[in-house]
Amino acid sequence: MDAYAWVGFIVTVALGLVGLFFALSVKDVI
Amino acid sequence: MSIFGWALVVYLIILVGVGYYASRKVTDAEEFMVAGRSANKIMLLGTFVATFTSASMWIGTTGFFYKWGWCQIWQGPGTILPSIIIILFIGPYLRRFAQFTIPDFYGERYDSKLVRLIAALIIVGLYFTIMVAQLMGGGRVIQAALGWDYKVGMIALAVVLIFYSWAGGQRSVIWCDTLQFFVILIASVGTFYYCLNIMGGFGELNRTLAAVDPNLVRGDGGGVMPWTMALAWTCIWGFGNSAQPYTISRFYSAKDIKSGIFGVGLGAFLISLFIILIGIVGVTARIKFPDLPSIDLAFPMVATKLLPTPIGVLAVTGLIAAIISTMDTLLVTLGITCGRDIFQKVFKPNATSRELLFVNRAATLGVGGLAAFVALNPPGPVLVITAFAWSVIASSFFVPLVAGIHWKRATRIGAISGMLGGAAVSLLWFYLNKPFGLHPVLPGLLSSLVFLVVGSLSSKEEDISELWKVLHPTKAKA
Repeated sequence: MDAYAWVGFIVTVALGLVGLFFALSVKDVI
Repeated sequence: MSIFGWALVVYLIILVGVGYYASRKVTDAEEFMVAGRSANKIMLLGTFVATFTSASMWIGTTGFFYKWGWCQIWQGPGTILPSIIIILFIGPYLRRFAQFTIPDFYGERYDSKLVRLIAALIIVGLYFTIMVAQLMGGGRVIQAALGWDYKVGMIALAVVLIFYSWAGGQRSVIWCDTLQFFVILIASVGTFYYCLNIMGGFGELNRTLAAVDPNLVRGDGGGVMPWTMALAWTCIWGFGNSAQPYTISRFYSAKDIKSGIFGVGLGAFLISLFIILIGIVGVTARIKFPDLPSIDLAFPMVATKLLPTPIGVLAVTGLIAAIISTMDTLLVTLGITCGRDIFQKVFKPNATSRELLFVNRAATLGVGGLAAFVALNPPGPVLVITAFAWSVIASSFFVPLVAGIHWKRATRIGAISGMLGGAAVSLLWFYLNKPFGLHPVLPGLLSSLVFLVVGSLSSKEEDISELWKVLHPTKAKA
């Protein structure tokens, strides 16, 4: 895969990680 | 009947059981409409992910990967972005508002029955056609994956989801969605593992794919996906899916704001992984089944012909779960909108909780039954309306919703102008056959913003200080 495709992967996962950050920043998680 | 068929029958029976069990506590309208605001973190996670992942994602997006390869990874940012927008700008505020439907927000925030009614009619009219299209999609998926007659498969799905949506409303839907989420999750992990195993790992998969066609491993797909297109998709899907009432109304059912943020946030992370999984399934299908008559067959073919039978059964069940979990939420949103925003707010403001419960149930049953009836022999206009329904809702709802939450100066006139202006421009863009190649959501959203700002600034400022304190309690204290 070329760099452009990898950027697509990275942006997708990075946005998912932002969501995960919000989820885990909620103090009393589970 | 094949093992895939039996698995579906067993799964549908389990759903009926879970939906019925959850419905036993539904004795008043609040339980039916927002599950008594009792959904915890796991339930919010389950219902958000299950609702968000639909047939168009598992069938449609897999098909796009099948046809164009890894350039379709650029669907990812636009798919995840709505979760971030909902967490930051919409969900927590709706939970503080603590009403029942999205038209409730428009009606109260802009102190206008007309705004509420416009929103309710857009939801009822357009979600009904989307519901019909989803039922048709479900019937066709069962036909393709299991070989059942289209009408038998569609009716089986409709009967099950109408039953538990009618019996328990939002409570049953959230319980069933949570179950479906775990089915989707387990099916995804199994499918991911076996696809990579069969293809000899991610690197080998891509080497084989490049041998089929080098463009399939390029980020631009050989010209299919320039960066302008990637950016446009991110905006279209990112903003367009942020204000879909059937998704964001989930926050009303949350036990508290934290549960909502946890569910949507973790959901965003899982959906980002699902996108990669879907890509792997799509390109695996391209290598193994290069001559499929329809790209929509990519996922069913991998599930039924390539994976080991137990994993294939799981994958097909996960696919059906994704389809049902979107349809049940659409149906219950339709039923509640008819009951709360049309019956109670227009015809009988002093309706008792039991009367409202009865109407909600009757509307859910009636709308669901009618949608299934129409899906038996769908008329042409259904597909035409479905093509622009999502765009019209996205164009008309997003700006008045976000402005209503964050811009104190937004007024009733501005909201009506923004809502109708956004809907009209997106419809016009469809009618003109998408000038400049732009998806109708972009001009729709932009014009909605312009109409709302101009309409608000040219009308008298309204006093919303009490509501503002509810929406922004920390700012109010400061």
